[in-house]
Amino acid sequence: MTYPAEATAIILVCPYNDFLSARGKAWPLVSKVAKDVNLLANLESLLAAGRALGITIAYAPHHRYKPGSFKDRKYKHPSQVLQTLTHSFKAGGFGSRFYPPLKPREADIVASEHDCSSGFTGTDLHAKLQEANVTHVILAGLLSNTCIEATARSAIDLGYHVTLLEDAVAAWSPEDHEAAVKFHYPKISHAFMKTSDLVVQLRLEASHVQ
Amino acid sequence: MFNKVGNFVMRKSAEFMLKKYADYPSATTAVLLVDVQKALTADQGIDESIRQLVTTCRKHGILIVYSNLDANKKPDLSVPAQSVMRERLNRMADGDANPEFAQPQAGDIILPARTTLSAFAGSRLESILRERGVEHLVIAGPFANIGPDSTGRDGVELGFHITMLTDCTSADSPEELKAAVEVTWPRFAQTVLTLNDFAGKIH
Repeated sequence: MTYPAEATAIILVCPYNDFLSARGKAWPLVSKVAKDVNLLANLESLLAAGRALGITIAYAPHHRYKPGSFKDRKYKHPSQVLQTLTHSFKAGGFGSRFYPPLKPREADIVASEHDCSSGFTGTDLHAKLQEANVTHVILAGLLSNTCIEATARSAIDLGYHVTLLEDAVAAWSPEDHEAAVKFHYPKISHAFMKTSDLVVQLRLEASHVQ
Repeated sequence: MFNKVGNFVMRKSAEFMLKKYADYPSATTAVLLVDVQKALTADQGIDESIRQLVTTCRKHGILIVYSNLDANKKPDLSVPAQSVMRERLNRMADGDANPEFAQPQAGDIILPARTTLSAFAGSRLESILRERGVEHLVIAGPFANIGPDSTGRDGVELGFHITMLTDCTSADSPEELKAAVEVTWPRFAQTVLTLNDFAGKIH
């Protein structure tokens, strides 16, 4: 069995209104790939399956912009430069709230915010997953070649079994998305598939246990 | 159309704002050779550019750090990138050694061979760089989207100015190289340039 329910977590990376809501700041750009891959429906079906099967749901939220964010950082990450310009995921605003259909419930893990891209660097995500005895992570959310890919790369180096999904992620442009899912994901994951195939596999494995 | 224009503007804005970082005082700059090993550079077409990079560093007294992959040790769970690299390393005798054009000398730093994708993961690289006052880390090595990618991402996260050299790397296909160097690298690295452009900004 690949996904022991008690040791598996679905990690939703940056599922904010700014990325996913029709009123979100970044939606006009992200929507191109998001619509191509049917992102919203896939994220919702993955989350619903995970909840139904009792799989740990974890959130890796991006830094919420505040006036003065990153000002002590001598060398900013390219995403920090853009966030400073656009004030995306503004703290206390609509954009930095979790997209309602994907919002966390009380029992879920919500990690501390990551400043750049990797959900693990400088956050408590690893500690919280360790505490929950998670060894297998399934990553979904945004963006394909930045936060998702960086989080996957960290997860591999931390020793997790990493599953990536070609249609539960989206990027700024089709080129960005393709660079990640066509060339990188097959090389930097232990399992790489479509969301619907993973959902079938999770259900099947759960039914064998009973 | 909207997507293309929007992305063009966003890329150019980031590029413009990050341009000022590309300035390399030799005392605070280091070059990291990731996976520059005999079996990994064979047939990648980067021997001459890496040789030139090493010569440039020696001329300016820039610190060179080597991070090699371990040919034998396996992580508990390997992803395909890790298995493929290990296979390559074992294809030739002495395949994990540094090639003739990138031989460590006294004063260079050689990190213990690793099994991780990133040269920062589980190593003392960050503290070694900080102890020496390094702020600008320039990354070169084969397979743009494996070791150099993971290492570059971690370096930026940790607060370094990361420079990726477009002509001191390789990939499995020209299409894949273009995607890594032109599309993905600029999303995480502050500076992406050629060896010549880098050399011209050292002082």
